[in-house]
Amino acid sequence: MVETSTQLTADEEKLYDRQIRLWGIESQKRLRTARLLLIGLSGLGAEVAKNIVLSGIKSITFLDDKPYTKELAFSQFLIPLEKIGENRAEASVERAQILNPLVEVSAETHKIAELTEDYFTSARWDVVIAIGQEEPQVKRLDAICRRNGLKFFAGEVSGMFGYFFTDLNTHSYTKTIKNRLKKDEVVEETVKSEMKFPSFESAVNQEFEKGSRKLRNLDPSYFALKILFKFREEKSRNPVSLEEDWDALDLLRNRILAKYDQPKERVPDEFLEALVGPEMGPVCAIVGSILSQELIKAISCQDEPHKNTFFFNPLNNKGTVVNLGTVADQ
Amino acid sequence: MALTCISSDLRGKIKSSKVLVVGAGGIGCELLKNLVFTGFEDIEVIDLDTIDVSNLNRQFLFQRQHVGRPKAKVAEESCLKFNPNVKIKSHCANIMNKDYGISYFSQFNLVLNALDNRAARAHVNRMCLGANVPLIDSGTSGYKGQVELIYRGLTLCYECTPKEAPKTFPACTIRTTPTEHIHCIIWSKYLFTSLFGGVSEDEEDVATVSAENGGDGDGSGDKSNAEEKLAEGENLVWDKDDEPAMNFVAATANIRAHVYGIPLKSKFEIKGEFESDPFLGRFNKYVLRFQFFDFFLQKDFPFFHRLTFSNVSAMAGNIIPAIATSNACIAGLIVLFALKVLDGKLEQCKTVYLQQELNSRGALITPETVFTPRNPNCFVCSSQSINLVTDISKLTIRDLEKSVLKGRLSMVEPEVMLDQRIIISSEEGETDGISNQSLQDVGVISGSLLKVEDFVQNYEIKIVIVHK
Repeated sequence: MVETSTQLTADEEKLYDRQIRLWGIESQKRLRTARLLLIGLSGLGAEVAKNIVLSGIKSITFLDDKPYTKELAFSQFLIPLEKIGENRAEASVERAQILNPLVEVSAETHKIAELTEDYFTSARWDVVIAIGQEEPQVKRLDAICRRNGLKFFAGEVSGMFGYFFTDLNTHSYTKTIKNRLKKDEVVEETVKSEMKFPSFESAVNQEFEKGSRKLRNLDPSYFALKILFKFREEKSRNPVSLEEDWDALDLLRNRILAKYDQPKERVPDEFLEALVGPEMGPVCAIVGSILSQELIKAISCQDEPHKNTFFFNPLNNKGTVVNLGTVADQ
Repeated sequence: MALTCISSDLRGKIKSSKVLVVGAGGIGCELLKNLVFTGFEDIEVIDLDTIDVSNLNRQFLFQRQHVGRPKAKVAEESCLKFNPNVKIKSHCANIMNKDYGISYFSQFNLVLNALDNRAARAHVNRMCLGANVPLIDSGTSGYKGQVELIYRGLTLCYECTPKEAPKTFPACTIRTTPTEHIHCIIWSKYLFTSLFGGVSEDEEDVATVSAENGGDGDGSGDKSNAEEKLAEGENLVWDKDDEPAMNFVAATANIRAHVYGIPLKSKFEIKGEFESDPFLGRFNKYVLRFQFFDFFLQKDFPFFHRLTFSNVSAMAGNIIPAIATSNACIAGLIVLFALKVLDGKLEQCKTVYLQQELNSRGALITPETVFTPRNPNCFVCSSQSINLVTDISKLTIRDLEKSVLKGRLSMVEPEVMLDQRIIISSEEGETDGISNQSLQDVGVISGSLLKVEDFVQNYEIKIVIVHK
């Protein structure tokens, strides 16, 4: 990411006053050079768009080939209700732009699966965020971003469940460490650090030793995501209702948990029920907020990233981060 | 199309519930959006603040053209654009106003706090306990935040645990021996009021001041246009959002800091001190006259126990402003709590914390595993008496009312009985005649028992006076 020495205008200082005091003027300068590509303007996509546009990045391009449909009426606040049938990216621009006139907001409507690598290597973006995409698509996008030095995030919400994945490839950042000298004397020191991230492919193929501690400690959300991916692979859609999809979900749960040698109770019925139906707004807000804060950290190269997969468990309101996959050549 | 991840029964309850959102600031804006999209159709929102430019980086229901307008009203208008069929009633008022009594609170199925100041949160806590309405309280500070259910008889109440108190400093430090930059800031604030302010600080109502800083502790309105001239006899009123006033205080504080060999601070940081502590420099009168917090150094008074002298005179905490992402996360969790309360799943509403760093088990959003037992010594949700250690020949009736009852105990309209006699009345003017007298003058002796009642909050407490 390009660093800039240009000063913030008085206008920017006023608008971003609160956040500058939290993350400093250098971070704010880096934010305003960042160019983002946001793929998938679902409810979660709208939350990420809102938070990141408010933060004061340089530009954001919305990319989506799907129309706005009724199930988004529970979460997609950037699109006016009456715009049923319009392209989700284009329909989101107006409200997103109003959030912060200093950010360039635009929309494109290409079919994601048909985009070639050239599209991403056009030097138009620093970060790519893929929301609600199919597993093979996420793999492909991540691989392209890794090859071309773009930071990559992917995530989705289904019902009350949500997750996101982070791949910053090799990421250099600064962090503040606190040294306690005496009881009441703490000295802060800023140090440089580097972190390597596994690819999405490596993360989804993570294997666990049977009966291992890591497997035992995994949040049920991990298996829920596996179930969701598999469901979509088979049906080319998300689960819509219990009447229609319970049997399929139950079957997938048994199959997937058996593979990991886990009892059925590991993913209780109540969790499976929470996966069904449209994205729930408050859950988009929760997952979107954590994703956005990680984006801000990644762009500003400040503070240690949470490596690398975040899950939100709607039964106990717990948000956990699991490090999945392995880094090649290490 | 329905929100099928929750039962149709719960969807019905959402539709028919009436909820109150207290505060339309950072958390409030996010919360209102979430409520509307989750299917709540009957919402009231209250906030007395107006919109400032510095709100716009996170209070996303507001835009440039709304600066100066009331937050509650604009939030209502913006939410109606999301869904014109929703019923939203906005109140541009202070929730601590007596118009919003127990009967007002009783009409709601749920009350959701999106406040950040102690006095208003404590007040709503008492009102909800009194009206027996579940309250979901929340707060954010920088990257962190928390959501807590307050349910009478089941959970802790807001006042069961000690809350950070406003900071104050010995007068001599401010006047002659500053050692921290904050001392210089407070001195400069004095200087400002002495030079330009006509209104005595004493006349300011501490409780009101605190409530005005609701919703992220932002100031009121955009006062950047300071070109207009003051009329003869008019005075300036301190306002941290008034650019020239802030410049004056920042400059003089830094000059003083330089003189005393204290490292200087930027205007940003100095302004932040006023935002992180709305009381900063407000307690001047009490600081100057006597060590205000001395009379709270009583062991059996858990709420104030931590306020030992060294804590009181410690430097004001770090500046921790609110940001969009934490507010959004907390507002999302509030609605999930709300659904679980409506669904009767109270056991799933254990206090949740948003952390900045992962804990040892990799959790970033961490729920408590059990409900913390209620504090049997809580001076709000259990019937306790508290001891007030003070010099009864110096503490006046007015000080007792303003700084102790309204300031520290967050009461709105206290009425105080000494034996059968009213020494502070909730009726305006009734006891004005004795307000300048000391406790001793009106017959209080060491060991006297004061019965204090607040009819607005439906709250009563006994105070034992200990002369020192």
